[in-house]
Amino acid sequence: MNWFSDPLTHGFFRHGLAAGVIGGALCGLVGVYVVLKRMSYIGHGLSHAIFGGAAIANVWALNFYVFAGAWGVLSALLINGVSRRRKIGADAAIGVITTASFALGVALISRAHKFSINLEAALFGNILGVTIEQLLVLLGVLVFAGVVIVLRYRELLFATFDPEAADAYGISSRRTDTLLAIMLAATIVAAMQALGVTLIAATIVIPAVIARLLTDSFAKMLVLSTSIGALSGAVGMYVSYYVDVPPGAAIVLMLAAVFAVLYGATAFGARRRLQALGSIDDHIDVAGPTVGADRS
Amino acid sequence: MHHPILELRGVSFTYGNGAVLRDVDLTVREGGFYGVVGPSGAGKTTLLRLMEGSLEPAAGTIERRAHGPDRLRLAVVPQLEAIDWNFPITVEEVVLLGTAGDGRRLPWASRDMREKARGVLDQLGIGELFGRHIRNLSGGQQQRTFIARALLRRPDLLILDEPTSGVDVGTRHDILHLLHELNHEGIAIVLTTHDLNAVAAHIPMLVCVNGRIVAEGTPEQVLTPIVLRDLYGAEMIVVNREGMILVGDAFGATVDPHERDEHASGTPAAHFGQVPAHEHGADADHVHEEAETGR
Repeated sequence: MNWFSDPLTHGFFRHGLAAGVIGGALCGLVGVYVVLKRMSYIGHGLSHAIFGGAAIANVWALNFYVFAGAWGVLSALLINGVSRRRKIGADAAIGVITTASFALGVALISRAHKFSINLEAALFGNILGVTIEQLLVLLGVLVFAGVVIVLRYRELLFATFDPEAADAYGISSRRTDTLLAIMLAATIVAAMQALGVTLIAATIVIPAVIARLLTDSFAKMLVLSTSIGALSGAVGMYVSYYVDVPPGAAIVLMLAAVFAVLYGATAFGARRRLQALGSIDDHIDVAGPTVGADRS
Repeated sequence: MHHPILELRGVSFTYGNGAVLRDVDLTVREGGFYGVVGPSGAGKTTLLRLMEGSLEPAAGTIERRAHGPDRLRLAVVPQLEAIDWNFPITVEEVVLLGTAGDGRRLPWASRDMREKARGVLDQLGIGELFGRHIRNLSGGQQQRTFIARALLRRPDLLILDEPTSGVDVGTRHDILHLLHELNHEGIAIVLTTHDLNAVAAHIPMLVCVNGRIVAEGTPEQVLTPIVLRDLYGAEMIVVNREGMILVGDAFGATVDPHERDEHASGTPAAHFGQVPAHEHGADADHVHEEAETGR
């Protein structure tokens, strides 16, 4: 028996593996912007908001991708719009809009007494039941995101790094925010059936956080995060096959374990280097590059 | 007379709770060098953001005019405190962002662009730092990195928000000297600062802001006790010593350059060492200049 090729004899595994790799790469790629713009909570909240759109599409028999996608973009723009007002922070805006949308989905399903397999997959993920159509959508969104990032690389980098100054340099921060909202919503809609609302945020955030621990370069972070996402999708599928745990959970747990090991290793390495220098300053960050933390 | 490149007419702005700026009229001229001063919360940063175009006025108009057929080229140097220093980006990558709005679609910089970026970094004396992460720079180097980004844009107008805050005296001097050089090369400059003595020494035109334009003119015209009291709501001492203007707090000052036993006890002195009117013996070896307090 060959541990690598044996699972590939099953069609469901091949589809799941492809979905894991493509979806992982897509989430990893888009996740870099989500993490660096400190929008991790948006990634989590938006997946719940899109569930509301998915429920409406299901109950009224509308096209899932078109309707849930439009719903997601609308939710993301609404969050951006509300959080631009100084009185309401982004976290509060996300809390209100995404949970309201999720609650709408739950209410509609409850009223219609209609809970299909597709909707269950949207909630918990069904990577082994992924269809060719869903794979093509995932691939299409990955290509779309890749092309947008290549063609708008410098504008997106500027608006992510220094949004306050972007407009003065001829870069519309509103336009780049909209572009990122569309990419994030499309990513969540495309990956939702495979990974599920409950786990998708982790596959967006963790690869980027791991990549950040490994590099101080934005371009390298993009490549690393995409690769880590794709690799975790593949390895998670094999772990799921042999250990008999749900694939989505296997992917996320593996990513979390890699993060924990790397975080510990970078903190330990930094402390060793400081000790070698002869003194440890309490004010020095010994955990290596930090993510989502203010300058200290 | 240099022609106006930025004109604010009757501009007001609010974040929702009362006006931050009211009825502002201000003209920035080609090659001008302006310092915007005022207390915290006076609307200085808001004024800069209106000039940049990242905020729209609630009332009034803002006109940007370039000398040639192109649009006015603006470049902004943000407050260092506003930057995420853990962002994964090197000095060279930051500087190259200065051309991000030029419409080039390829994600990597051209050889020509990289050479220009290196040239600007060399000009600012930090050429050897191009590959370094921005976290691993001193305050002065960080400031120069963002000035380099602005210069790569070849701006007509350079706007800096508190470029001298959080840096030591030597670095502050270097930055203001550098801005002078850039101004002499033809770039109009507008900056905000809290350092009145630095603006008095280095900046030819001052704009005093406190929700409105309180005063505008040369340091000699603007830095008077009456204007400063109107601006800050506090008494200030202003001394013009051989053409050099010094501003200090009128209260709480304790530094006295004289021997303490020459003076009546409890005599306060200004922060910069100027002593308000006081008495001492007839055999004292010095006389006092008049310290103008506006009282």
